[in-house]
Amino acid sequence: MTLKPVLDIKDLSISIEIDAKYYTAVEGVSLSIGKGEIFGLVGESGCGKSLTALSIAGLLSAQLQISNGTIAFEGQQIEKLKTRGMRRLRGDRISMIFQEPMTALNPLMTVGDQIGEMFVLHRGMSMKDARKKAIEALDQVQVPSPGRRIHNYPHQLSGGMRQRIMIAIALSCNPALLIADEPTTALDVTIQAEIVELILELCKARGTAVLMISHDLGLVARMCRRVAVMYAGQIVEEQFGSDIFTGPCHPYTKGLVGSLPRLGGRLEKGQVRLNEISGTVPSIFEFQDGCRFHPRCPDAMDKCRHEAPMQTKIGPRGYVRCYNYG
Amino acid sequence: MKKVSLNLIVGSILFIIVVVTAIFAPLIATHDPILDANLMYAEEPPSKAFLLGTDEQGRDIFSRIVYGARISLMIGLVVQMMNTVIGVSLGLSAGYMGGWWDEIVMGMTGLILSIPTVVFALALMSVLGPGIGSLLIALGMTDWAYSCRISRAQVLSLKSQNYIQASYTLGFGNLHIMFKELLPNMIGPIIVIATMGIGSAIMAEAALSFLGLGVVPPAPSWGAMLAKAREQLLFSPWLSVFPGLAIFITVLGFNLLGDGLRDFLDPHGKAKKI
Repeated sequence: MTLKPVLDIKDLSISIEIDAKYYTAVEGVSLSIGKGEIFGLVGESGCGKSLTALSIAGLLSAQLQISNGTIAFEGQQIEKLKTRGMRRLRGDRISMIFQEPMTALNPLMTVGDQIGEMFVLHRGMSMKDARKKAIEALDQVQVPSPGRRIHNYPHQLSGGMRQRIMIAIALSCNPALLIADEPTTALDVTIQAEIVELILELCKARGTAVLMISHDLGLVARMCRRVAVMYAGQIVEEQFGSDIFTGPCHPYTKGLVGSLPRLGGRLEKGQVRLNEISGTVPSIFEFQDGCRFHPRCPDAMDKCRHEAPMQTKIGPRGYVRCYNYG
Repeated sequence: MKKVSLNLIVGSILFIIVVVTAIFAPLIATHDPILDANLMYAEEPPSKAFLLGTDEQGRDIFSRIVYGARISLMIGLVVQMMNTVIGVSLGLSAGYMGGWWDEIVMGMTGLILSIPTVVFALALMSVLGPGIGSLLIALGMTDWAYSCRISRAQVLSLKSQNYIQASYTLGFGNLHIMFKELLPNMIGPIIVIATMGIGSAIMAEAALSFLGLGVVPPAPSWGAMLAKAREQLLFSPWLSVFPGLAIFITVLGFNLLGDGLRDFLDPHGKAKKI
């Protein structure tokens, strides 16, 4: 029923070593993204969504390691690849866009050279041909007068323009998967929508799958076909993007959706402020037994305190980690 | 606008004076520095004919100092170039790769720093024998610790920059990241250290030549001139004062230039004075 997945993560756990002790930062994450699919990963800061992304690109730093699970990309087991093989994938088949366009470009190189380098590196082109391709790539990300822009240095461009250039670099080699790690967080609100539209449009045209990482639930729900919500290193719920607002299942997702301000919405009688989820996220040093969310959960049962819930299917492709279902 | 400091101006002027003197030595000198020996005029005080007096063989000190600028500058530049190449490649690779290589390089740097340059060079020179060639090798191999440390520190701070991280994710190799991304972005501090290093290399050359291990007579080296003049310090002070002044001005020039460049290249504009 679904296409063969481009990316298939099964039961991924990542542990971090601090003072010779291992702590689990990401636990039991499974997700699969089909060809050309837009997949959203939401969660608050430190919940492990960026770590998951880095592990896909094989970029975990030395004190982090994959302790369990597999990552299959186009049929290849990524966690088993050597440095050289991984490097060939990166930028060519898997690309990334970061949240800080202001600092993600080398300040001492013209943007034309920085885009062109990709073609030289991954396609073995000459610098001259690469420059032509760079102009084309700039044109595709809707930068006006690309022929002149390639001679600009990053400091001469605005934040939105730089993010467009990052997109041009990331998509230059038609990757199968684009990891967009909060691509719009650092941008002006008016530019955000434009940039996201641009990413999606270009990826659609190329059949590139997108893993969109964000803490903006609204953005992700609107743009992505499927959305996974992460909390404290686990995916607590996965649903179709269109359902996440109308039918959130996990108490955490419900809390998130409930805490969003609604335009034109009125406060209920007696309510003086927006809803919130009480308590704070546990740090990885103090994960308790049972469900990770139970200390903050309004519907917590006795069982939740002792035994961690497994994934329960909801709908055709979704699942939730909660005892209130199934 | 960037404010050009007094250091930079004075340093540049002194630097230009020394460089121009070295380049146009044959035009500036009034006598031949080696061949115009005449014992009739030995140890003459400064006069119209001999601007800065003559040495014990009757050679014009002014001309010898002018030609000496060539030797000092050449040695300073070559030595510092060797030091910079060694220091930067070690520091860059150590900072980039980290791990055991970093430990080894930092260990060697600590070793080099713990032994005074001149003493180290002296030991090397006693093995290699006197002469310009062995002087270049001895000094060029022993004073790279500062450029090594500076470039390592630069790499460590640049490594966390987003564009360096980004080039990993784009699939670029280690050599590309080291030489095309990191090196151009850390060139400022390296230039500053190298400029100051030229000054200390000239000092070291003078010191070694003073001890009779550097430039072989009769070539006009400021250090060697000082060594000869030492015995006549009381009776013919011009023999030692003027070569000493030449060393002083040159080294001061390079140090001021380095200081000024550091303030000028520093993006924050107010670096602490060392």
